[in-house]
Amino acid sequence: MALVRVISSDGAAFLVSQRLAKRSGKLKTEIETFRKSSDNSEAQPEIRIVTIRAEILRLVLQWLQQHQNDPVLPANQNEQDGRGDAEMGQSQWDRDFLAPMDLGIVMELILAANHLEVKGLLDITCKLVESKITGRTVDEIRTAFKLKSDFKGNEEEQTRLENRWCVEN
Amino acid sequence: MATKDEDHEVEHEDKSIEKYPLHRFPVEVWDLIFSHLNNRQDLITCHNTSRAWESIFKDKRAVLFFPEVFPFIVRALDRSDILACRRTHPVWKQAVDIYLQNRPSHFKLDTFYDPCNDEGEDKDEYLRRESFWLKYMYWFESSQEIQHFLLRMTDYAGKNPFISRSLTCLDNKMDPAESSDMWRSAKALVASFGTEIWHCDFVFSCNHNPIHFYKILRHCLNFMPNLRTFEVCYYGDHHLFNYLEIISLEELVRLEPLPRLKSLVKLKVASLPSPVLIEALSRNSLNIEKLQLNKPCPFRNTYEFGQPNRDPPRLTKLEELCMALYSREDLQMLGMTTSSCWPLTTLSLEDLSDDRISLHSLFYTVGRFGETLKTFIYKVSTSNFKKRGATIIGNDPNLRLHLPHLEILKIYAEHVRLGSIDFTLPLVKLKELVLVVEDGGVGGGVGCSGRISPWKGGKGRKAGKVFGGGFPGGSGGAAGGCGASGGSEGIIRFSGYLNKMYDSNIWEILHNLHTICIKVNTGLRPRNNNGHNELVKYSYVRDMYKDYCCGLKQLRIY
Repeated sequence: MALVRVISSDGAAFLVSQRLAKRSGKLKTEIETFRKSSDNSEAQPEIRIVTIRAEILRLVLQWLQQHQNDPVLPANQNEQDGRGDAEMGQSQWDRDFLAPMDLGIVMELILAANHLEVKGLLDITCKLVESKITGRTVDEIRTAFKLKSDFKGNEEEQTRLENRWCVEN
Repeated sequence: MATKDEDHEVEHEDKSIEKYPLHRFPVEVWDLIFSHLNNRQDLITCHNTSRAWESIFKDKRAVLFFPEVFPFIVRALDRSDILACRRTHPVWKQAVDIYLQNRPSHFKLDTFYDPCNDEGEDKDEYLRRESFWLKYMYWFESSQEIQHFLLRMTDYAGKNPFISRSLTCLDNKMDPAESSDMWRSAKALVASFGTEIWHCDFVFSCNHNPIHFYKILRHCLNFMPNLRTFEVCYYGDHHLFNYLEIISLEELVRLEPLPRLKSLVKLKVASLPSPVLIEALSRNSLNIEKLQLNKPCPFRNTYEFGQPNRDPPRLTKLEELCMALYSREDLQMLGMTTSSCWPLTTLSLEDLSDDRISLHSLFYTVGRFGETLKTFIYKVSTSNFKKRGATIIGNDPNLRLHLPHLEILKIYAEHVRLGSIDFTLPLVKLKELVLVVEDGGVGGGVGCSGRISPWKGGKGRKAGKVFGGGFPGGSGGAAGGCGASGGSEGIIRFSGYLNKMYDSNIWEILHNLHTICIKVNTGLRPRNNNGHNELVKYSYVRDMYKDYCCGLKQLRIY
């Protein structure tokens, strides 16, 4: 089985099958570039992802592993945000996969999924973050994302004034 | 002096600190250090640097990553959700504001409705909604509305009350007193917050004479030095200007010039008196990148009032021009510029002229931008063509469009028959061709009636094509050949091939062509009886794995 070594920003190496790695658009391109530039067809590609740390890369690869037999996602994608157009049904496994995660990690996962061009993962992570904001009050959002109100002085009051005009008009 | 053992110990300690940097200071000190890093990207880099530092940032991820994540989730959020995000955290607020203030919809010129682009209606719907919201956030139509806003902001101690940094003042008053009141209030508004406005749209009613209009405009612009986009429409009927008014206006402009807006990249004007427009363009000639000229042509009055030698301003950064052609003079004006004067990459022209603008003169004029132009969009007004009684265009065998770098060509000529597309022969870099035409009833291949039979879809020919004779074998194309009207075929197989362009030799002639989208008015009765003729759309995409063939991507009947 052809393998590829994927290295995270903090130096952790993951050995995965090329078939699995190619489900990521970015990794697929990198593997193909390596193949073209390498004289030795047996050589094992090594791909360094400088923007993704090990914990997140592991999660992405874990998700890919679980979804390796899914049909290939449609190439047609939203030009605005790079997300897939298809309504992705979220499986129970996906829900269990995301459930224990801190929303900060989920946000990092969104950026990693976008960087590695993994549309399905991008969709489900975005939906999770969206669901924690849509229809919620400011305090509920702060609680969900574990945020403190770091506004200084009367900054919060000014923001409320700015918002009020948009709400009323 | 340290002993050898001590040296060893120090060295060992240094290594351990290097390995565990947290040990050097307590976490609180690291917090303090990182709090001095204002650049979010630096913070993210620190976060990703090591596991030790990552633990310090553990609770800050939702803050750090939100600005990058927000563009992915914003489409699912409605206005109240977005406003709630602004109140959640200062970094979230900043992220939302930066996103809203820099949306491409602020910078986009109006483009013609693209009848071929119906695949992304949902996406466009979102963009329309977003654009509408951004525009209407601070939209004022009366003095009372502006006063109400200023009253609301009495207690406001912040710098910028405009979330989207956009301002629209629409003066549609019939009463001159009301109109004057409104602009008096608008002046007060920009005097208070003008420096915070980046996007501005002013519509002036016909209540103001050109001198009064200019004075208001100049006053307001003086208070808005940071404008990035500016749209202005003046409904004063300048066709009724007399010579003295124009002379007075020119004198006023000379004595009291408009301010230079260093950040202005988009200017959209309609019905502006020529001296004002020329002044606005000249003042900002070094930074304007996008220009939309609606009715009428900017230099027409200059011609009319006897100053034909005045050159168009050198807009050295102008990349995109959208312009309506009301007469041959408008085209002549465009012809006075050169690509080094206006380095256009995108040109959209809408032919609304009553007198005939021939494709020859149009293509000749557009050819002046051949060094830079990559996208050319040409729309022919239906009603004007009906008036002219000319329904077949492009069938002159000598007609050529000399734009060697052109990549996208769109011709919207609904209800107009396009006899031939041989004029595309010099377009060696053309990648995308969009045509909206009438079923010409010309050429063979679709039956003697010339009417296109709607297909049921499917793939075109997949393997090697067979070419007929008479093909010159080069994209330069000989000028000769037969005309395409009345059933004869040009060099490029087009007439009669509308529903089978996969079978045309165009894929061989234009080597870089990737997509053809054709929408044809069949003249059939519509299914839904909505009064429009039935349109059939064909999309062809080159098969990348086989050189000279393509597949019929989709077919829709409207």
